[in-house]
Amino acid sequence: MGLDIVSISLDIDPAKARPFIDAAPASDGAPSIRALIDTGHATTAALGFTNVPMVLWVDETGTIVRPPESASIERSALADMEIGDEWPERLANQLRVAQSIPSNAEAYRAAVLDWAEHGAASRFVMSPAEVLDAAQPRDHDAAEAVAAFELGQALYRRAGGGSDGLAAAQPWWQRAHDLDADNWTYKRQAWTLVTTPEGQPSDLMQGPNDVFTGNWLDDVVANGGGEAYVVAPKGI
Amino acid sequence: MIATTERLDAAALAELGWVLKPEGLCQDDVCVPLPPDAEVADGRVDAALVAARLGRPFVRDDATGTVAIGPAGGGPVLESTTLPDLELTDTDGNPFRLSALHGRQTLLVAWASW
Repeated sequence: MGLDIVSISLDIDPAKARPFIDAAPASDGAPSIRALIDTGHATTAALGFTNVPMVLWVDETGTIVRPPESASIERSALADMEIGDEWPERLANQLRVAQSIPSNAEAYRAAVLDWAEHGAASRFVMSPAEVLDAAQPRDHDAAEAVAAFELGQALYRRAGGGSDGLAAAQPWWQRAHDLDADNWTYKRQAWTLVTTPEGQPSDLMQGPNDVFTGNWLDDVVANGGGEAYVVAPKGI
Repeated sequence: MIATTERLDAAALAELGWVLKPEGLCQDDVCVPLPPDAEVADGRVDAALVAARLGRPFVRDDATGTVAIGPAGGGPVLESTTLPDLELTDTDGNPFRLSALHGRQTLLVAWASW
């Protein structure tokens, strides 16, 4: 099978991504995997990654044959987790919402394997017109959000990251969140810098905080729930 | 595109995909004229003016004078089906251009620690 897999971590701090990359298991016969890090969220701006995980198919000529779409190849461990009666209400609600996010893991894995085997003849390969039609839209507010998030990043780095960086970036990242509420990479990246406890690699809860107006649970519910949280692949 | 000055030089304009010529801002055979009173000195032109002429969003941090110009809005994010030649980094911090993937069938998978 000639398929290469390239993972792109959207992490403003590459040190946050490194432990996950190092922990990825190597297995005999698996496709080669190259790990890249997108510290500037350049793929958000140029390709339309608006959440993670999202996937993009590129053929041997460098042509995109499927646009960015939400995808997994295995069912999330959260999907079948039982919610205990003793759980804190917010945690229970967050898991309920997470479990409402549609999963198409088996079908998506089959589609990827079909493409790996049949290449351009795969029925899942899109024509250029279909790719552009299915690509993420960008209205004028979303375009300004790109500039605002990028400006926030520049100020964050110039201040040396940390609390000083957050203070410098906050107005611009908040503006990006307000302008493009459907872009979860902007929001989740910013929230996790605020809510991750010292010494922890990340915080998947991304709860209410004093720095940004939103948080994962309330924003997902406000934006339409689990169904609206993903970019559903067309035809899979 | 980020700039630490409000007057863009040739390199900054090139990052946006444009070149400053006597006809105005040019990209291949297309030129967008600048207003007659536009101040162009040493090949530098005002960032807000460039953004306005190109129909791009412009934001400015007053405290630092840092500016950013966003992409055009009103269409799909993908301008074409050719994979953009973005420069990312590998796990050792070395630059890696996506054009290096040419010749291979590739699945690009976006993920994050968060």
